Amino acid sequence: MSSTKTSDWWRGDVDWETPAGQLLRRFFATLPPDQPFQIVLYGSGPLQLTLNRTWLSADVDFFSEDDADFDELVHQAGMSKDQGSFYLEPGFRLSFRTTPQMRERAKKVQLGNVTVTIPHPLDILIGKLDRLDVKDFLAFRRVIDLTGHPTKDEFLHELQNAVDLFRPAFEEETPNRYPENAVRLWRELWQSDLDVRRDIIAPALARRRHGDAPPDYKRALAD
Amino acid sequence: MRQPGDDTDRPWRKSRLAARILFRKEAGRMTARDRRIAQVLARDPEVTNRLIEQGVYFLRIGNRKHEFDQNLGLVAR
Repeated sequence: MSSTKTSDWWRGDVDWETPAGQLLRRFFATLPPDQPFQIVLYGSGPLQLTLNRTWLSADVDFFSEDDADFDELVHQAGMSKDQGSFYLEPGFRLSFRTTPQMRERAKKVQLGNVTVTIPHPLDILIGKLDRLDVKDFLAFRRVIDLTGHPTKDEFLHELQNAVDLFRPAFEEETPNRYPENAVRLWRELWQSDLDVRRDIIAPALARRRHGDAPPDYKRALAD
Repeated sequence: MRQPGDDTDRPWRKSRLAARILFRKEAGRMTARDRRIAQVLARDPEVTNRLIEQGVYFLRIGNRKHEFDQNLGLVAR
């Protein structure tokens, strides 16, 4: 493969026969047919749909592109968390914290009147770094076992491109756990140290400055 | 269409003029009038390096941009 992109290892072929795929199709069949819907999947659902059909997950997380309120629609379909052991969990777009590249490398699928955006596993994993409990950590392991990716260098590059995830949290929020979780991931997954400021923030800001700063043309005018 | 009294484009127009002057400076064809206007634009807070750079691209510097910056002594050779 001649491309140098760190995301080329995923084709995004969707298996709609997976539990998540079946649940989503049953739900889409209950939606008003004359109205277009656009949703984005996140959490483990996209991993089950595109990487391994046996991937266990209790729910399928999604949010609406147009901020439509899906709570009622999901409840009417009998697929909310208080109605079954495998359920749909409508969320909000800000619940899915990930990279700026999410949309450009996601797979878009049209199912009837529903457009489904399925993010790349890299973006799913970066979203999981926010929490990184045992289940999330195992998701990293499993994606790497299945695909050989992301490598440590690939993931470092991705986190540099998503440097704003490492900014301090607002006062109203719980502390941002991306920095400490990234360090933990490096230690447990790749048995190596990560210095967030040196390895992620400084290179990313250097690239941003280089890309942003124009030459001093006003000096050339004044000379 | 631009409306009379609409000055929103003014910084961009002045910056594009600055870019034209820099093109002539690079080519060694600056006039006395160019020098006079260049001094005014260099002091004008509405004229920024970012907008001048956009003007340089607007005037189709293309892949000669780095050479252009070098010739003006703004980046290392």
